[in-house]
Amino acid sequence: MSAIESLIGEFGRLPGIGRKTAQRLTYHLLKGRPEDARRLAEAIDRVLAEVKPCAECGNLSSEAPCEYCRNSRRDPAQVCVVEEASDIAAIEASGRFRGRYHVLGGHLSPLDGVGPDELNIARLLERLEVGVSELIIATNPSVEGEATAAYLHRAVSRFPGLRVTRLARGLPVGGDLEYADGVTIAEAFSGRREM
Amino acid sequence: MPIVTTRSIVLQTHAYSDTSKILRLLTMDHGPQSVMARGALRPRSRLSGLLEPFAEGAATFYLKPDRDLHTLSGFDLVCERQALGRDLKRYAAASVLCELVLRLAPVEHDPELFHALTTGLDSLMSVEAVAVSGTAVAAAWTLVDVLGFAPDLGGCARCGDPLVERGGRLDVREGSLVCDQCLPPGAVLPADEIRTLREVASGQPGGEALSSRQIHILVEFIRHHAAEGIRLRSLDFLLLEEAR
Repeated sequence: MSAIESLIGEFGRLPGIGRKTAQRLTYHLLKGRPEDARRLAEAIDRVLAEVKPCAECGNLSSEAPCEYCRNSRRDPAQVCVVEEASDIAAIEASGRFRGRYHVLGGHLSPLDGVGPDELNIARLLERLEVGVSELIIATNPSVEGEATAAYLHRAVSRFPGLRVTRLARGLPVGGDLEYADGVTIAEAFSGRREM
Repeated sequence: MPIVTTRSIVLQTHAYSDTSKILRLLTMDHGPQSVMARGALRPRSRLSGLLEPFAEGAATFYLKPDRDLHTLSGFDLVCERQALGRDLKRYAAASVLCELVLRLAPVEHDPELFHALTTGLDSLMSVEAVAVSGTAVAAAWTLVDVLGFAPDLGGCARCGDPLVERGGRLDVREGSLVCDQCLPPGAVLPADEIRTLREVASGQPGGEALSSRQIHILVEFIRHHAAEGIRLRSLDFLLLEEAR
């Protein structure tokens, strides 16, 4: 296999990139300045060498512990559980949460062979032994995310003083009720609140 | 490239890129099909909350005869089954039914299979908590029957004893019952467990808790007789839940 074909193949293995896009990326690199391509290769090398899951929370970070676990201004009594490290960025962008995180590394999915042992749950239970007063379950609002939340809720029931909350579900801000799907509207009705 | 609309159940979903989903569907008119739902993961997509496992609706897609992946253009929800995800045993049981169909469904359309799956999923939604396992096992046996792998539970396959009073065992390889006299040494099901097996295998779950032995029989039967030695991962999950 030629070097060009090899690179197209590697790009094509990335999520959301088909063969045509892989070809475009490859030829873009070849047509550009060599140092640009080298910088990309070095960045990939560096991320592979330096980024590891945080031993405390499972977040991907080049520092140990990660920036959220290390930050003494964040409230250690609140832990927000997310499926993937990339979910943290979305929550951080909201600017509303000042606690710490825990990354499960996925969700329960019997069809894909993902059970509780495949997720970062044992470490979460260890963390709850000391000084955590609220666990915020922020798994995705999907069937699998709900099942994962149900599993966590049951698993943490042995911590009597622990407050367990789940992110609300419903209509997106700025959305239009007319175009919302039936399931989302039904969830919004179930989760309606007093004014 | 004809555009078709057919009643469908979402068996499995996978995220594809940042915004799209690939779905495995069981359709009423075109058997199992894979479709790409472009943009379904966008927050304001009209499909975002609909295309979840176990949901049922009228799917509209471009059916390309020589392709394995078609393009979904619409999904009119008939029944959402999100609640199955909020109860782990129901979730595991519904996954078992979907995995059976994913692994074993023929490529041709089979309205009876479609009906058996919807009936099974609906039962899991409505049944009392204590009867979830029994309902799951009965629904799985019904699917096994519709798929053409049903065991012969009429009586001992060797001596003809009706196995009403006597214990025996389901010979997984033979797909039939054998009485305790004709059996080689080993674990024997008492007569009442054989009666229960006959009930659940005929799709009658009963209203009470089911022994885990009945789930093990189903697991072994499916593994040896239907799935060619493959262990269904969702059945392992159901067993794990049953043990809790």
